[in-house]
Amino acid sequence: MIHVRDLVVRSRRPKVTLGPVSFTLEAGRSHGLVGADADGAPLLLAVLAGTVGSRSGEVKVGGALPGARASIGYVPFVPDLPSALRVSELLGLSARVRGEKPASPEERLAVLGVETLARRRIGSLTLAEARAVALVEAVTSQATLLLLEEPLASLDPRAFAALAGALEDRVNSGATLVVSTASASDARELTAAQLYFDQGKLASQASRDEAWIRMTSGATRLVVRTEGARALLAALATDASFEDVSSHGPLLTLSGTDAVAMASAVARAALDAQVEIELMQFESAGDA
Amino acid sequence: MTLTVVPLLRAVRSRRAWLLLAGGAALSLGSAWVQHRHAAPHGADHVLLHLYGSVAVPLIVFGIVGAVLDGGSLARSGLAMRRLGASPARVAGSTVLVGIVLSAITCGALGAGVAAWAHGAGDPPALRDALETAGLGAAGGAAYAAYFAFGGAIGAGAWGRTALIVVDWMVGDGVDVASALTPRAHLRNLLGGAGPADLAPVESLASLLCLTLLYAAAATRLSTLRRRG
Repeated sequence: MIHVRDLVVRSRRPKVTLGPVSFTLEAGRSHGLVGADADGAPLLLAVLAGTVGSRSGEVKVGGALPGARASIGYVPFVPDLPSALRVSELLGLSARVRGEKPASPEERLAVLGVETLARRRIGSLTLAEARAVALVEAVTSQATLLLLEEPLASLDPRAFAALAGALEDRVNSGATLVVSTASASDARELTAAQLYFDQGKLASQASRDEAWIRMTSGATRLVVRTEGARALLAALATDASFEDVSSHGPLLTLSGTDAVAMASAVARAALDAQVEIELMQFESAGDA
Repeated sequence: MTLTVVPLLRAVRSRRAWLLLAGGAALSLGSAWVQHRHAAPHGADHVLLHLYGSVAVPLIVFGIVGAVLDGGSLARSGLAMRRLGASPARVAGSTVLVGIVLSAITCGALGAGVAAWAHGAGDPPALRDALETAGLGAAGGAAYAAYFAFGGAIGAGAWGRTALIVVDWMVGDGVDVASALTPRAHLRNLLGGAGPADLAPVESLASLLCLTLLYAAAATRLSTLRRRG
């Protein structure tokens, strides 16, 4: 159980003031903190992880003050991993520090399909690869509270479903999941309940279904130009991120409400259909 | 022991630390070779005092501690392990300990090598001289490691360590009371030079051990207080 009462937090980089906010997150469930940096959602996640202190108010995580502990798996957007270690060494070491029985690194990495990274030095990983390793470490540990910032960002689109499945399994086995994301679609996909933050204030709370309704208000248009428009259209046909899809020669015009989800869906579909995108441009609903 | 793995692997896999070690060793051993070639009667004393103790040891330990801290501050270097739930004090303590042990072994071994190679007719018996120098070099290396770890706890990045090496150079070169706070003055005393505040060599040896404990404890404490930074 996570209790937050009259919490006020300020950060200088980025300059954000969060709060006062009060809410309770039930244990053993998945929760989304929806909002961008300026809204304070990632800052709130860092407060829950104990890496950022609050200015005032009360925060209790599992009945205790926030702070790093073996039962918490925290993955910030830029994970802090020891660059001198190999990925397999990190996973073995983290298990020992958490007091867990070490499992095969390759098996753990296979959860997100990144087992080929096992022998790589962490310092040689790209940010996306380092994020995947940090996610694997947290998700496959026995941590009972998972705090993940933008877990789908920079992740190989082919690993989306695997991560969502692994997180669902962890929640079903009693873990608590808290995801901070700027994408309402990602939050809806990964969590059962969402808290929406706007300019540092808690704007509203919603369940998974209510969030879907919320997303259908407002509209964004995405124009994509590709020689493989037909193949891309076929790959996008069943994607729920779009309200309307039309094609004209090499141009596809896609309408929806969640820009991040739309862009992710197009990237995923382009990979699946193996087509090269020449142009991807957002237009507001008012543009002709 | 688990928490010593990260700083140990950092040091072993750091190219910069190996380069500084190679530079310091080449300087000392090269000079020892010259003394040996010219059959200087006090060759070992000369090299140990003027190159090994004053240049090679600080340079090598600066590289080792920098590698152990991953080029940053002591607090920052332990962030990954702390996020997994490890105690901040134990993470910092393990990091400082690895720096001290590696520096002591490296400086001790190099000191013994230099004493043996540059040994002259006027120096103490070769084997005894090498063993004694190994012990003194280890004490000096350990004190420098704790001193630089303290620097890593008071400043971001390499700033703290760099500031302390300058202080060591400027203040430790003297023989007044303030110089007794630097490893340089005591190591010089042990290697045959002037001691700080008229201390005898054995008092300087005790002082080096005290400085090691003092700076290591202060570094660990400071980095624990600043862990949110």
